Amino acid sequence: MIIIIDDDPISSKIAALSIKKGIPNNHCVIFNNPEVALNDIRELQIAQPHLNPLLLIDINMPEMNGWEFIEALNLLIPESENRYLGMILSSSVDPADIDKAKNYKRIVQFLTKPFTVETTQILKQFLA
Amino acid sequence: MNPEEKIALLENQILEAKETQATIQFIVSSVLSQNTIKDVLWQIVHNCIRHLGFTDCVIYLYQENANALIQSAALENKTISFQEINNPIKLKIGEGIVGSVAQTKKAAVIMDTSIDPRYIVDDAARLSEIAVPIVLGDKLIGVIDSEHAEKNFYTQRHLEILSTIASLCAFKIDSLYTMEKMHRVNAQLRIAQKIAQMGSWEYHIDTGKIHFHQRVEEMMIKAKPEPGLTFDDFETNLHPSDAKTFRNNWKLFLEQDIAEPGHLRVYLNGFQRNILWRIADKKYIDFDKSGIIPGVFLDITDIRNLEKEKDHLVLELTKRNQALSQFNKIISHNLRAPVANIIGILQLLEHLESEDEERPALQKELAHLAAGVDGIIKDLNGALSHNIEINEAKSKILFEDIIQANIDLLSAAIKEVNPTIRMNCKAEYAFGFPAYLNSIFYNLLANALKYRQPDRPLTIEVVTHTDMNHVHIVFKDNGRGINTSKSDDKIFGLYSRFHKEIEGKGLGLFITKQQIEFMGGGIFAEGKENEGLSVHIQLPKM
Repeated sequence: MIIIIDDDPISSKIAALSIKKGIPNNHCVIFNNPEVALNDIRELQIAQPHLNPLLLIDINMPEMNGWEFIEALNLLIPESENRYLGMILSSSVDPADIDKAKNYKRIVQFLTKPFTVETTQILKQFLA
Repeated sequence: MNPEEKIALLENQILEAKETQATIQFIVSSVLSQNTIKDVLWQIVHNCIRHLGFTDCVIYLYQENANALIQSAALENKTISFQEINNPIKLKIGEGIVGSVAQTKKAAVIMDTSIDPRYIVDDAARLSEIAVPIVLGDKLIGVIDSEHAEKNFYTQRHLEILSTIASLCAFKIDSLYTMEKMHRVNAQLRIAQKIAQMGSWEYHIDTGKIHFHQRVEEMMIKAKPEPGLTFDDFETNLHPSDAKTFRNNWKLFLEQDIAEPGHLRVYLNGFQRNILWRIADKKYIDFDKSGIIPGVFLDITDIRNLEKEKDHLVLELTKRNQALSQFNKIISHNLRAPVANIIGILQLLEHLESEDEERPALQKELAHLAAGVDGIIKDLNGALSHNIEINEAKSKILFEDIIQANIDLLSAAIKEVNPTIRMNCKAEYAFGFPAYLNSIFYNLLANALKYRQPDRPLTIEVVTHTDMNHVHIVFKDNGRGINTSKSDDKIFGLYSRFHKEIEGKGLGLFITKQQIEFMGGGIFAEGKENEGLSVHIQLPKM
């Protein structure tokens, strides 16, 4: 399962369609609001404790940025830090952002937008 | 010889001796009253011709660094006035009669030069010569030389007189040498201090008076001071608070040997000069032994001014750099995001089947995104064309003018919305870069129009007032508003978009904040959702 947290509806739609094309039997969920995402992920964790979703997180979001989202998730579901792998999916090409991503344990990849069908190859390596 | 003859001879000798002594006395006293070496030498040659019946007289001075004798004064009885010597004769030590006298430091009287192998013909051959060295102790100063056309002209009396004159003048010339050297050193010191922008002083422990080098007077003392000024006299030119520090530092130094370099502001001819004062370290001088404490004043006014200018430029450049890096952020984030989406959709379209149901929606998005990019570029262009030159001057602009100009610029939207705009400008003018002030009000007005509450008519209120140092502007609307407080500046961040249902790139308020801060001002916003927003701006009065 892949969860996309990105306020940009177009960008998240591009990612979802690319994943659908590249990894056809995968389930993909989009959240355009990170606060809603947190809530739903918590419910998902309670309902299906053994599921380990892969998170694609945008950085620049108005309500809560990607970094804040990761910190909030760490507090909300501490055990998820080792289990729910994350990837940054950002339009940023700023080296400072790429450096910052290295500080987060769950982040295994920094993906620069656009998300393409080719990007799904990277995702496959991390999907159980 | 009978007794009468003996008496006559003795009387004659006594007379001669008296005459000799009188001559010597006259010449020596006339020489001693001179103030320069040149005058001393001319007095000697002149008097020798006048009182001793010489036809010429030349003085050579010994120059140590050249190890040679240089013709320094020369006179012939035909010459009436003193003349400069254009091409002085230069003799090596040991060369000719004069040279050998210099070498042996013993006077020589040559009765017949034609049989003396040392003799060198000057302008014409002369048959007798006298040469007397001017010597002080072991030190050779020069040679007095005279030649005569006749053989056997120079007598024992001549030799005695010249020798006496030479030894007395040796003292005079030597002391004048020392004085000239002292003047030279002093002049050198003066020039060196002037170039180094400093002046030295000495504090005499026994009298409690300070003696300034001449340079200090030029540098920092209004009236020409009496020699030996006290600190009280000197303090009158200082900035009052510096005078206090100066006195304290001085006390600290005298009592505890702590030599703190101090900074003084000196007022001279209506200008303030920045002076750094330093006291010599005890390492270098034993104050107790010398009774003198030396120190210097360094004039650092020019350096200070250059430093200030440099600091100003560094600040300006830093601001410029910040502005550039923010522009870079805009490009890398705000512009890159839609471009990445365009690329993403184009790649996706390649992978989708031609009859895929997603195609039409994606194609529609593509057109929408392209228009969005165009909008951002237009916005950026607008923001950047407002950029100011680094040397552009700030000026006063009437608030009414700025607002009216922007109402005209946004006339299409104004006509559509038809807002009520109220102005209460207790402060009539804003002070800043005109381009920035225009851009700021454009953004504020455009935002109010864009984020209006569609259910009620839009009201905009502009209130200005001043306090001691600032002009305050409050720009208030009754639009959609957002929940924000004075301390929350997220609204001015680069990615802030609070109203998803309205087009916007979050650029306007970001740029507004940059421009206000660039002019030394500040901005914050207060608001409540559905109640409107107040933007508070503070700008420096000057």
